[in-house]
Amino acid sequence: MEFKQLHIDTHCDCVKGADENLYEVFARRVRYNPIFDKDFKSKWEKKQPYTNNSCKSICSHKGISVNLFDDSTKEDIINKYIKTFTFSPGHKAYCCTFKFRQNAGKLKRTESQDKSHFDFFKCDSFTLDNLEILEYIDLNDHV
Amino acid sequence: MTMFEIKQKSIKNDWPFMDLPFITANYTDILYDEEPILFSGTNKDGNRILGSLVDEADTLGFFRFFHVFISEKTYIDFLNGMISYLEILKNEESKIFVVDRNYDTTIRDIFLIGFNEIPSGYVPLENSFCPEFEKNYSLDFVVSLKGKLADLKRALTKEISNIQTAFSKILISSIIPLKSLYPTPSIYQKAYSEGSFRLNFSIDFDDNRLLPVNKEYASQYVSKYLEYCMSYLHDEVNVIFKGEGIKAKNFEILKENLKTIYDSSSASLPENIEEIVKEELVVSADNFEKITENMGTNFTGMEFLNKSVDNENPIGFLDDKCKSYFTEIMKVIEESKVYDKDNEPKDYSICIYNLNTKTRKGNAHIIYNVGSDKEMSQPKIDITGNEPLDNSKFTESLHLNKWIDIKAKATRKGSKFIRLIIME
Repeated sequence: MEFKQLHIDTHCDCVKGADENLYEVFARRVRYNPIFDKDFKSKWEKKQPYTNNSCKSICSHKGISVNLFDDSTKEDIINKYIKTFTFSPGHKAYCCTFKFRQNAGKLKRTESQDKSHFDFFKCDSFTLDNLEILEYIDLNDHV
Repeated sequence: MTMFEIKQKSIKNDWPFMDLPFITANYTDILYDEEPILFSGTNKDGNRILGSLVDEADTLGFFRFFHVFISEKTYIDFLNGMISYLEILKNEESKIFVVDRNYDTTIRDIFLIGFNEIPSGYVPLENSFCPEFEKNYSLDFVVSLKGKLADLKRALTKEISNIQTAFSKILISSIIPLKSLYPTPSIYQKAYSEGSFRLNFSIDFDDNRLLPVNKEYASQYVSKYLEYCMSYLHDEVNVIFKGEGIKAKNFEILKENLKTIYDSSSASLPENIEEIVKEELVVSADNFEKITENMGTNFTGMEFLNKSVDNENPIGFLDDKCKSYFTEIMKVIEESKVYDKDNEPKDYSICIYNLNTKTRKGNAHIIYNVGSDKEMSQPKIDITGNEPLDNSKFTESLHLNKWIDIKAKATRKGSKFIRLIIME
C-alpha cells in the first residue's frame, strides 16, 4: 500500500505504528445510507485548516475517526452516537458498521480516553469498495 | 446535500451582530465527535454562549451551528442537568444565532431566528441534557459580583469584607475532610480583578508533605463540593441531616470523590468521613447564607468560577432567588440538632453589626451567653414584619453601635445563641 497522497504536504510519517486490520468490526457515524465518498473524508481532504503544526495534530487531521465495534465497546459507542444525535439530529443519523478489506489503509489507536477510537489512514488507492459494509443502524430507532 | 433554507436576511455584515455571536474566550468542548457537537464560551462582552452543530453542507463546504446566549445561571443549570438544550432553545427569550462557517473557518453567513423557524428534523431532542465531559480543575477560584454597583466595578468594603471572610471559611471547610492527608493548607487571596467585580482565591496545599499531593483530584473535589453546596444540598439536606427520604445521590458521589483522593494517596479514608463532611457542610451553608445576605442592594448576583490555565469553569451562580435557599438549609440543619429553642418571645439586649434592610436578615452581638459572664454570641437575626426598617431602632443600632432591647425567639446550641427571630 502506498500513502504518497497522504504525505504530500508533510514530513510527518502518519502511518508509522499503524497497521492493517481485516478481521475486526469498526463503526463510524455517517450521514448517508448507503454511504457516499463524503462520509469518508478527513478534515485534511475537506481543506479544514490545521489547529497546530505538531505531527500528532497533522496526522489526526489526515485520519478518519472510526471506533472498534466489539462486544466490549458496542454499547458505549452506540450511546455516544445517540448522545451526539440528541443535539444534532440533522447531521449524521446512521451508525455504519464495517470491516476493512485488503489495501484499504492502516489504523492507529489514538491516545484518548475513548479506548475504542482509531484514526484510519486511507491508502492512495482507497475506494468505498475497500469496505465490507455490515449494517446501518438508524439512530432514530434508538432514541 | 444542501442545507435547510433560512428566509431571513443574513446579518453577517450588520452592526452590532457581525461579531456578537462569536466565542472569543473560555471555549469548552462539551461534546465532540470529529467536529464540536456541543460547546460553550464567552463573547467579546463576556456573555455566555452555548452552541451546537446543526448540519454540514458537504457540497458547498460549510458547517452550520446554533449559537444561543444564556445567563450564567441557566448555563450552570444546564451543566447540572436541570435544564435541557431543547428547553433553552425553546425559551421565549432565546435568540438563536445561526452561524454558517466555511471549512476554512471563515464566516459565510449569520442569521437570527426564533425557535419555531428551526425545521423539525434539526430540533434537538427532549433528552438533550448536558453529557458528562472532561474539565480541567484548579485550586484557583473566582467570586464575581454582578449587577448594580458591581457592574461599575465598585463594591462596598464592608460587603466585600463579609464575602472574603465567608468564602475563605467555605474553602477551608471544603478541604477539612482532607486534613489527614494535607494538614496545613492555606487560603490565599489574590489581587482583585475587574469585570464586574471579582475576588480571587487560591488554595495552597503543603507540597512538602510525605504523601503525594494529588492536586488534580483535590481540585476536582473542591469544585464538586462547592457545586454540591450551591446546587444539590438543598434537595438532599433532609436525607443527610434528618434521615428522611431514600438516598442522597450527590452526597454519595461527593464521598466517592474523597475516596478517590485517599486511594490515590494510598491512605485509608477516615472511618468518620461522613460525619466530617456533614459538619463542614453546616459551616459552608452557614457562610453561604452570610454571603447571600448582602445580595440585592449593591449587587444582584454572584458567580463562582474555577479558574484553570486557559479557562474559567462556572460552578455556581447565586441570585436573589437563592437567598431563601441557604436559610431553608440551615433551618433543616438546626431542626436536626438538639438545639434549645424559646417557645415564646423573650426579652433580649442586642447590638446589630450587620443588617440587610431589604431581606431583614443580619447579625448581632448579644449580651453574654447563658450561664457565662464572659463570652458573647453573634447570632443571626431575622426581623419579622413588613414595616420598612430604614430609620428604625434596628438601623439605629447598626449605625450607632447602640444596644437595643428586643423581644425574640432564640435558638441556642449549648450556651451559644445561634439565631434570633425578632418580633418587630
